[in-house]
This record gives sequence, structure tokens and C-alpha cells, in this order.
Amino acid sequence: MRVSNEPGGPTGAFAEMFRLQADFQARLAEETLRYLRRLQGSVMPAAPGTVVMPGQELELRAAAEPGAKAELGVEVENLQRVHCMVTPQLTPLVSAAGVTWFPATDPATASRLIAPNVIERLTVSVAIPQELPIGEYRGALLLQGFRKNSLPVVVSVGAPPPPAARPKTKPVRSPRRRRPS
Amino acid sequence: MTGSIPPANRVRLIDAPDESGRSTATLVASLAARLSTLYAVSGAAAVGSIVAGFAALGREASRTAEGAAIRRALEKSRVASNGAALWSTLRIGQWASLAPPAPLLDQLRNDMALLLAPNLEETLSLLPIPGEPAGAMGAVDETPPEFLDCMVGMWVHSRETITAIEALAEPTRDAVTVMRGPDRPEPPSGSILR
Repeated sequence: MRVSNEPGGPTGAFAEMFRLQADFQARLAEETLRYLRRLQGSVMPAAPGTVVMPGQELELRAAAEPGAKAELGVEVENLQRVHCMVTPQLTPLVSAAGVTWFPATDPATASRLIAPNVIERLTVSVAIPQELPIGEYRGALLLQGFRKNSLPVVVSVGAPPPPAARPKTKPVRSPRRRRPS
Repeated sequence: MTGSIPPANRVRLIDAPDESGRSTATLVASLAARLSTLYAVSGAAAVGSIVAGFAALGREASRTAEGAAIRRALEKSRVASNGAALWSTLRIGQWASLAPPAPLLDQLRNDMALLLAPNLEETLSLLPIPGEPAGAMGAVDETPPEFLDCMVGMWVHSRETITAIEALAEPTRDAVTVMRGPDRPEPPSGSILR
């Protein structure tokens, strides 16, 4: 019996059956590999990690003008029994007007090694671009590599104060000359 | 963990509640288990797991402003197209998707923490300490690893490695830049030696 793979051929039913069979085998192989991957993942050695527990209603806030620097400060307390490396990273910040800002942070405050039972203050310094529209920008500070590592952030970019007004001084009048009488 | 309420602007770093946590013993056990696993798995599985780990790390880092900026810069250049071509033609992505991603950042931080542990010698004398399997924490992310994920992940991992090693050296780093040699007797002088 001649079996054709052509859809409209004389043995179309066989072709359809073979196609279904091949699809089934491919799917079975894919699911088997996925299962084996999960199994391998569950038996691989554990790497104990760190969970971030923020304070109640923690929201990091900073305010600055365009061209200045905003500083976000947060205290980090290491309650684990060994040293912990903390790497804070800002996500892109978005304003209500739909402006997305990719803040450049100061590399000097990139990471910190915190000893057990020690509290350290992390300060993330953000340069505010001159061309950034005024508004309130929201995003998150991620403590990279930790679980539940997102802390909400609000940066208010305000208008620069108007140039300082010149002190009003009375015009100096030239001394009047008395007309000779 | 203490029960007191922390100030509003403070975050606490704690152990996962359903795990044995980070202690010198568990970190030594984790490192020993990783090393002993290498004898039981193929090179392809081990390296595939590392590649998948870089990709997972890069995927997370791409959410940050710096990671996204690096990624966008790579996307605009020939790097992205050439990398993607190698990734698909040599089936690197398919190979990496078969292995569970290794938690590279956790492993790096744990190994660095061991180097600072005050009780390491006592703990090493307790070996062999039974290792703990990843269990539910080893749940695999189904997202297929991409070339740019892997690139960004390698960048994050390298930067973290450099920073961690610098932080380890910092407390004992010498500020002195000029060192004098030991005192030597005056060299002989005379017209014959000239």
C-alpha cells in the first residue's frame, strides 16, 4: 500500500495519523526533557539564599532639581549568621505623564559587604538629567540576587528655584547743587 | 530574627523560613555538595547549568536601569545578531534549556562569606556535612535562555566578583605605595671599580 504525505492524496487518513503520531512523539519527548530538567533542578545542591524583609510601609523618597543629585537612603540590617553582599540597583522610573527615566547611579555605592548583626546605611546617589521633565517618578530599588527584593522608590523632580532676585537698592542721586540765590 | 519592629526605612536580611539558612556549616555543605556533584554529572550538564544560570541572572538584571541600558546597547550593535546566530546555529540555547539554571549569585556570595567566617576551621573538622537538595527552590523557570540574557548575566556576575574580592581585601589593604628595601652596607667605592 502506498502511503502519501500529501494532504489531499489517496491515503490522506494515513498521513494524518502519521502526523498526529509524530506530533505526539515530539510532545512526549519535550515534556520528558522538561520533567527531567525539573527533577535535576530539585536534586541539585541547595545554595542557601537571602530574603529581604522590608519595614512596614517602606517607601524610599528623594527630591531634587534637574541637574542636581538625589540621594535615596536605606538602612540594611544583616540578621543572617554570615556576611552578606548587598547590591542595590534601581529599576527604570516612570512618571504619571508616561516619561520613563533610566537613572544612572553612582558606581561608588554599587555593592556593600555587610557583616552579621550589623546595620549599614546604603545611599544610592542618582544624577538627575537636566532635560528630565518635572514630576514624580516611581520605580523600585532591587537588592539584586535576593528573594522578594523590591523596595518602592519615589523621586520627585522639582522646578529649580527662580534666580535670586536682586536686592532693591535706592538709586544714588547725585547731590543737588544749590542754585545760587 | 528578633521580634522588635524595625524603623520604617530599614530592611532586614533574613534566612528563608523553610530552609536551614546561611551558616558556616550549611555553606560548607553546599560547596562540598557542588564539588561532589561534578563527579556525577557530565561536563555538558554542568556547563549547561552555568550557561542557564547566567541567562537567568541576566533576565533578572535586565529589569534594572543599568542592566536594561547594557542590554539596549548590545541590541543596537552587531553583537546581538551575531550572538543570536551562534546561539541558534550551534544550538546553545537548546542545550542550555535542558539544564536547570545554577544560582550563580547565591553561590558566589556564599563562597565569599565562607572566606570571612571566623569558625571555618572548626566547621571543616565536622566534614562530611550532609548537603541539602534544592527541592522546591530548584524549580525551573520555563523561559528559554537567550543570548543577550546570558551576556547581561555574565556582566552582572563579573562585576559582583570584582566588587566582592575588593571588599574582602579592603579592611587590610595597605595605603602605603612606596616600600623601602632592607638596609644594605654601602657598596665599595674606588677608582678601580669605576
